[in-house]
Amino acid sequence: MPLNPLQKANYAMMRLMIRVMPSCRDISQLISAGMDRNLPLRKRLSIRLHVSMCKFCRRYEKQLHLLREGVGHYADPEVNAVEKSLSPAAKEKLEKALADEAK
Amino acid sequence: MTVLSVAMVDDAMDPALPTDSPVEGAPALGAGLSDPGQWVELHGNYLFRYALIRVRNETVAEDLVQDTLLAAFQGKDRFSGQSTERSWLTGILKHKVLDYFRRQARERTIMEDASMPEELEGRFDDLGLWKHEPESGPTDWGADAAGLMQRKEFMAALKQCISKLPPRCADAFVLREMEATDSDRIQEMLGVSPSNFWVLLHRARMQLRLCLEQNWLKH
Repeated sequence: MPLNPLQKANYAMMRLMIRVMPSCRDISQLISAGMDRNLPLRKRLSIRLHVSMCKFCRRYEKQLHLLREGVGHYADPEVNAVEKSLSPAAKEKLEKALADEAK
Repeated sequence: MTVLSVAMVDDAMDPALPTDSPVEGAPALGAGLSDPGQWVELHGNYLFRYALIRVRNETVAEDLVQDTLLAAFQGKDRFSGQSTERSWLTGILKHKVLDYFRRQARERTIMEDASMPEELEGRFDDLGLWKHEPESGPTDWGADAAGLMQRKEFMAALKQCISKLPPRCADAFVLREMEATDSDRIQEMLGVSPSNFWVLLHRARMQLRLCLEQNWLKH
């Protein structure tokens, strides 16, 4: 899909500004880093400034937080709907191991 | 029982076995536990699934559950009733899972290429902007993405996507996001430098995000 004139202008503008600012590649890295440690104010501000102008990085940031939330559900054995349960054979094996231990 | 033998070394260094310390006036140690003969029935599936989600291998998950139940049996006098039986058992299992990751890291002698694959790197243009033609940046996931993440389709896609990560990358991600382990501790466990660790996590997140976009939301 070709870009409309407005999108073209926006892209040209971003290409100009990126020469003095962190790029989307840099920002995606900073967004990830910010989820694991406290970033200095300067870096936090550069993320905020960048995402205020860039819809892709705005989505990227939001989606990484969604990913974290989704992984939280996935990690909960009561909520996770795709991992299997113990097979009868495995259950039996565990019960036997415990019984042997108790002797 | 190979799983247990190496684990003991780490147990000695890391007193992370049941932390539920007795308090004055608390019930006698060991009180409040159900009959160990019931543990498999009561908690077996929960523990197995907990392990399987993290280690991504059924045989390993079964072994870890067995180690956990036996360790719990031997240490049952140390249970103080400060937590539920299940969370006490889960605490022991968690420790076994971390030990497993540590051993895996030691056995992986070949360092994976930490650089970004073309599939990810190629989404940026020459200046590092998300490409605009063709549009290669994140797409709009819609307003109900968070709700959809509780569904089975999301979990199936996530499982698939995690399995496509390079192993070390997946381990770093699982430890960080599922176990919420301290970054310093993960670096030490996996034997990677801090900068390497940040790259692994960044890579994992970028690849998972893209994989989900392509395999979960497109269907």
